[in-house]
Amino acid sequence: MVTLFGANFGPAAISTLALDSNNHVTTALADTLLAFDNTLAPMIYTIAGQMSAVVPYNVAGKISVNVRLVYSGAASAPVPVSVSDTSPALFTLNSSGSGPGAILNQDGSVNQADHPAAQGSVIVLYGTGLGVLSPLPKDGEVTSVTAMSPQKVKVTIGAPSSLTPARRLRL
Amino acid sequence: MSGVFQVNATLPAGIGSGAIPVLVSVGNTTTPTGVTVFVQ
Repeated sequence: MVTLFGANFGPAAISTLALDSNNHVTTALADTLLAFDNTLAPMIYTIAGQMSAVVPYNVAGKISVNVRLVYSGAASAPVPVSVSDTSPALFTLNSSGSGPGAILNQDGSVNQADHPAAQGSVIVLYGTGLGVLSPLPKDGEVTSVTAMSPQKVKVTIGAPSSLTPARRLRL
Repeated sequence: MSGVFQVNATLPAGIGSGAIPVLVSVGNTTTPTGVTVFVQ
């Protein structure tokens, strides 16, 4: 997922993720489109001067793509953007990407200072940027099918010696 | 939804308490530092 900032695009009131008849996240939201080379990205939200979308899977294998935003039929100049096959990041409670993670405790409660996880218990972390999965979902697909990363996934908690294997991974 | 991942992990014993750093590595890439989990 990426968030873009700019000018002269987006509605005054936020417009958020919508599904099409195939249960896929739409690539058009409030007259806003975002293209990575020639592939439209599933849209998360758009508001005046800011938008968020999911990077299409077909950037895999590339090092750079041209990103172009279209609003109400008017296209921005293409902007070259570096890409990589994998760029993982964890969601956090304050949406900054730093600080307390958006983590669930084993009982399903939100992990917080006044609701910590017990040692030996299972926690659930959420993030983005995992890259290509197997089986490869379609862009914007909403599915209950578990897809796994073909790469080795590790979770480190505390010191590196606290390495613990990921027990389950899915989109 | 594609674009979002979930990973479940077991907290190892002896990691202390408080806000403990957590990282996820995928192949040769790792999540940014600065994310923590509260442990008792």
